[in-house]
Amino acid sequence: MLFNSYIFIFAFLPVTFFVYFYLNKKRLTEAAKGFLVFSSLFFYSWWNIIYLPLILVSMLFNYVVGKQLTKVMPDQNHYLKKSLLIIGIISNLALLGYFKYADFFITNFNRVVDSNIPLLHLALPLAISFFTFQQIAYLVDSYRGQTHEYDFLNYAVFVAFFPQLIAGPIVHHAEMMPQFANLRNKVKNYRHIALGLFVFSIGLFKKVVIADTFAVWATNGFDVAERLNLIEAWITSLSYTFQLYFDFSGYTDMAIGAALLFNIKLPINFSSPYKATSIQDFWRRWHITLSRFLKGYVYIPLGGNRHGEIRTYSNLFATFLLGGIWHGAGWTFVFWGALHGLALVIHRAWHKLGFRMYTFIAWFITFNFINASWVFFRAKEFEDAIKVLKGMSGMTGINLPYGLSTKLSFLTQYGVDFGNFIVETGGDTYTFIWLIAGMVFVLAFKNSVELANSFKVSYKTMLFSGILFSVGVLSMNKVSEFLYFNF
Amino acid sequence: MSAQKWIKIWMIMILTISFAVGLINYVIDPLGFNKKILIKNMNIVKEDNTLFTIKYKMPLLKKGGWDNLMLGTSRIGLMDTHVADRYLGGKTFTMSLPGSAMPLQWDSFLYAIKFNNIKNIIYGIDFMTFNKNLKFNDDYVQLKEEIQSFDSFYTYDIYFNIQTLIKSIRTIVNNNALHPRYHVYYSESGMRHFPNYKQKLKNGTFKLQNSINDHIKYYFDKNRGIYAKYEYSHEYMRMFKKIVDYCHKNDIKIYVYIPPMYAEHFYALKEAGLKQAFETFKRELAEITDFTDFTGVNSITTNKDNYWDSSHLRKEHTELVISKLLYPEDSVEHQDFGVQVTKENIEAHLKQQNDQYKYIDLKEILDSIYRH
Repeated sequence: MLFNSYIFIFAFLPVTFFVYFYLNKKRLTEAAKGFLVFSSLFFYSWWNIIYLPLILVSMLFNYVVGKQLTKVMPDQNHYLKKSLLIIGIISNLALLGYFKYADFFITNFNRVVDSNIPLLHLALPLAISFFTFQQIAYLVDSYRGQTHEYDFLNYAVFVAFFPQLIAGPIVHHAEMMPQFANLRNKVKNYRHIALGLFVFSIGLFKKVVIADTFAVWATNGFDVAERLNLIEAWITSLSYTFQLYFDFSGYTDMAIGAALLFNIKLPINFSSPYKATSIQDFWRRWHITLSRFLKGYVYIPLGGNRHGEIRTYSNLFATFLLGGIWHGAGWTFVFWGALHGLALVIHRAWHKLGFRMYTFIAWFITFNFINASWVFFRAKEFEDAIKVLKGMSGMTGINLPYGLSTKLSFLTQYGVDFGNFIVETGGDTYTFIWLIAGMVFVLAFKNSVELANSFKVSYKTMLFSGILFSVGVLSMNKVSEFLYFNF
Repeated sequence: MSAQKWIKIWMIMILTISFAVGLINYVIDPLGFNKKILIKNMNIVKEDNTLFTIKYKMPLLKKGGWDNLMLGTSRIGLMDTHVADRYLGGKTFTMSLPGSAMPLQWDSFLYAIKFNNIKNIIYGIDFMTFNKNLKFNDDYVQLKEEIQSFDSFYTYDIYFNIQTLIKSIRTIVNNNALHPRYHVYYSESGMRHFPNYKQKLKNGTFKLQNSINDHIKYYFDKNRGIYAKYEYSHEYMRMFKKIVDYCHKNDIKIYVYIPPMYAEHFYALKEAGLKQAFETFKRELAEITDFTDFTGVNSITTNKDNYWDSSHLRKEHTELVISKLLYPEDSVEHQDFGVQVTKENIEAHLKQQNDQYKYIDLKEILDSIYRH
């Protein structure tokens, strides 16, 4: 079930909300919790019930391992505890690896040794990357003695809570469980509900109205066109850059908003990432909970910056390479991760050497690097990425509107053509208006978190979110995709 | 203001906006889905509804009561169902699906026979339908599950959306204009009307050559055209064979023909490098069933005035096509139009058509369109 669907907005969410608080009101708190788990699993199964047993087994397994890890005292049997943790992590990664990377591995193996092992063609279980990372974090936290979980129902709520189940934010056990345990959170809080509706409305508008508009031009440029001229290639890459941001951050806003209705505060996941003035700054603003996971559970365990500069650089690079692979089973994702790892290494070295640059130049370089690297993230094959990048660099021709041909005819001697200038991406003059508006939105306006922080119960906020919500709901009739849906 | 009041007013506001939009759209009905309230200078002339073909046509099929079915792409959509009624008896429905690939035609065939006692099928089979890389219609992607499980089609989202509201406003403005602009739309029998072209024709403002050129671009643009990345699908042809077999087994008469295209469109196929695939399509078709081929060069296809564009024959010629299809031996008009093809004469037919191919500068046509 998608957040931006009629069934979620007009049936699932209201029913879950009212039944949950009704049960709590009747002091049936355990039943309310059970109902929330049931609803979340129903939400999960809506797409395809076939993977419901998988998530249940995964939850049960991690709960048992986590419980054992918390039982063993640090001084009792360190070897046993570590073995248990390793078994737990390997099991999770094996499950993820089997479903997500098996065909990728077989394809590459066939290529290298020239064999013909048939592919498995497994459908990726919904949200497996998210719930796997979340549960690995739980096991590590249990190993470190940072969790105290004795109840499977509590654990199931932590993993399956529907607002964050499909696409995060990736949450920690320690930040969620006290909220579910807090008795005050079991009573309807009208301020939270108003704030939740406010944030949800912003997210819905970002996803349905903005991201889905950019999607058309990005899809045409990447998937349909065989060749792109300079303007078309920039339209394609910028459209995807904005589509991805508005899609994912919009969906996260909806998750944060929906969770707030239940008095649960999910962590921030985006903070105006395209305002970043360095690649490090970008990763502090983009998919913040993933960065937090990678830092806490990969970079630091690898040694972080504690073993000299060379090790720090290799740890940084390895962490982002892994981040790339996590996003998808393909060499373009690996390359995208490597590019970001490399950029972070260069950024760190640059700072170590004491260099600085003007803020605007720093922003300009950072934004263009991100925009160019998203091309690899989006492209299905390297060929598609090269096609877009070649176009962006002007290598496949420069075309201007035919109307300019008389005024700028001298440009023809430099290889500039007139006419046919945005055919491959589709669109028209409005495309440019949308791109400029997109840029203004991400740079000059407050983001949804800032708007939520300054939220006041007033006619202004009511009118603002009411219009966004209405326009969002009244725009839900077209085909919609969610980019992080299959991650 | 309290938070509780904020929520209440917020709820009232979103419900009011949504219902107001829904109500306006329902009353104005810009796509002609309900036709409940028709008001002069308001909503008599409707907007184009071809983007909503499935949503419009499937409920009509589900209601039942149709005896004859026309299947195919938009090219069969212009065939006059009244003529078919006269020749076949009973009521004819046109399940034409613009730009559709074979899986959609297969699904719609199953949907049609599920709810109707179909006795005759006229199948206008198109070469473009067999392109493995032909993009599926957006509404098919969205509604595939409903079609395949023979579900009902809800239409409330047609009304509760902003795109329709914009169309409603445009409809009112258009109806109040000095010369209202007519649009393409479907009738109750699924037939496709081109009243705008007719009106323009009457006014002497219809630019046929522009219409032909635009459609050549729509079909032959090498990246985005309907023939782009053409890869002939044998699997799609097997799907078609299943339809023919089903009809034979269930006592349904099936008449198959390849719709007539304007000669320039026929020549363009060669320039686009599709001649061989076009011949493969016809050979495999002949293996499955006899058919009538209206393509090629003849007295109808060389006269552009018989068409609305590069491949849509005008409604006025329905009788000619149907008589050639159903009673070829009786048909005396335009002897060169419509060749009866069997597996015995297919090679001779292809050779004859091969001789008719002529060079046209497809690139020049496409470039000239982009310049405007």
